[in-house]
Amino acid sequence: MVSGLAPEQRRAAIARGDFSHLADSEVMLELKAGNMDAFDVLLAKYRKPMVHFMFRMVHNQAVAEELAQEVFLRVYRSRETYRAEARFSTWLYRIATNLGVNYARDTRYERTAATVYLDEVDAETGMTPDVADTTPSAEVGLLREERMEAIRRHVMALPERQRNAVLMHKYQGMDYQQIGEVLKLSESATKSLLFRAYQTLREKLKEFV
Amino acid sequence: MTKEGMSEGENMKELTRTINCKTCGKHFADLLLDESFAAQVREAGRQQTGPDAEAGAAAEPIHGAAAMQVAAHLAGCATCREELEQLQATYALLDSWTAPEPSAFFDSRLHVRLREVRAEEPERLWSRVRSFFLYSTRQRLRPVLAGALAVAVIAGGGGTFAGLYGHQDAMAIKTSPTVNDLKILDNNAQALQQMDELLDSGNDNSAPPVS
Repeated sequence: MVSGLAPEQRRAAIARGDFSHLADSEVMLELKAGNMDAFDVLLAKYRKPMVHFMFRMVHNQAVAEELAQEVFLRVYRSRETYRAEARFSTWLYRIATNLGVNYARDTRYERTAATVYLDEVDAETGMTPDVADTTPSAEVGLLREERMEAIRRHVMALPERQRNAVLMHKYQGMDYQQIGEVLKLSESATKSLLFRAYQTLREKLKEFV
Repeated sequence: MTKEGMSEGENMKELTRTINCKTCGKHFADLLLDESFAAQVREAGRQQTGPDAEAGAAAEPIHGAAAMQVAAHLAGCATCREELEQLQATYALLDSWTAPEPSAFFDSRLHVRLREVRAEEPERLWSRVRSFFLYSTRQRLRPVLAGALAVAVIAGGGGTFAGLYGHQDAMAIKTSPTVNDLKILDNNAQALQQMDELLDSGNDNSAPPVS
C-alpha cells in the first residue's frame, strides 16, 4: 500500500512529476497537499475502469461517463478529508457504487425497455430500422448482441449487493477482501454473496451456455 | 496419513466415500472462485483418474483432504460434475459482456467540470478575509463599520452608565465615619441657623407691608 522509497527519493520523484513508485494512497495524499498532477495520475489509472464499471451499472455510455466524471470530482472535493487508512481503490469504488446505486434508484421509473417496431418509421431519422440480413456474420453478430443483452438483463436483475459484487469481482478483477471493504461485508460473506449470484446466473443463462 | 493396515490405494478409496453431493456442493464456491483450490482439485483428479492413477495412488497425496475428496466425488458423480461445468461455463460466458472505451472527450469534459468546481470552491476563512480587504471596494465595509461603531457606542455608553452607578454605590458603601460626623455637624448647623432665623422674624415689630 505504501511505496518503499526513502522520503528524499520520494520527494525528488514527485518533484520530477514521477508518481510511478507511489502507491495510489500516496498519490491521493499528494492531491490533498494541493498537487494537481496527482489528480491526473489517478485519472489516467482509473478512467477506463470507472467508465466500464459505470457503463455496466447504467448501460448508457453518456450517463456512464458523466457518472465516472462525478466520481473523480468527488475525489477532488473530498481530498481534504481523505485518510490513507484503506486502499485508495476501495474508497474510489465505494464512491462509484453509491453514485451508481443512487442513479439507478432515481431513474427506476424512467428506465423502460425500448420497443422497436420494425414496420414503423423512426420519428427522428425518417427511416425504418435495419432488419438483420441472413449472412452468417450478421447472425453471429445478432446472437452475440442477444447474449450480451441477456447477461446484462440478468446481472442487473440480481439483488443490489449481489449485482455490485459481481460487477466488481468479474469485471473489475477485485478480490473478496476488497469487495468486502467496499460493501462493508466480511470476506466469507462476500464469497457467499458472490456464489449465490453466480448460481442465479447459471439458472437464468442456461440457454446460452 | 495412512491408516494402519490400509494400503495407499485403499486409503484413497476411503477418501472418496467420505463426502456426498451436498458436501461437494459446498465446495463449488471455492472451485469457482478460488483458483488455487480449483487447481488442487484438478491435479488430484488427474492423480486419481488419469493414466498414472496407480502411481498417483501409491504416491503420498500432495493436496489437502478436501481437494482429494472433491476430486474423487466429482469423478464418480455426473450430476455434480455437470452442475460445476455449467457454473464454470456461465462464469466464462459473462466475459462476453463488454463495455465501450471512454470517449476521446472524457478528459477535456472532466477538466472543464473540475475548473467549475475549483471556481465554486469556498475559500478558507483567512484567504476570504484577506481577499475582502485586498480586493473589495470597501463600500461593503461601510455597513459593517456602522454596525461595529454602534456596538462600540452601546458597549461604551452602557459601560459608562453602569460604571457611574456602580461607582456611586461603591461610594455609599465606602463612606467613612468622619465624613458622616461632618455631615451631622453640617446638618446641625443648618438647623440652628434656621431656628435663629425664625426667632429673628418673631421679634420683628415693623408694620406689615401695604398691599
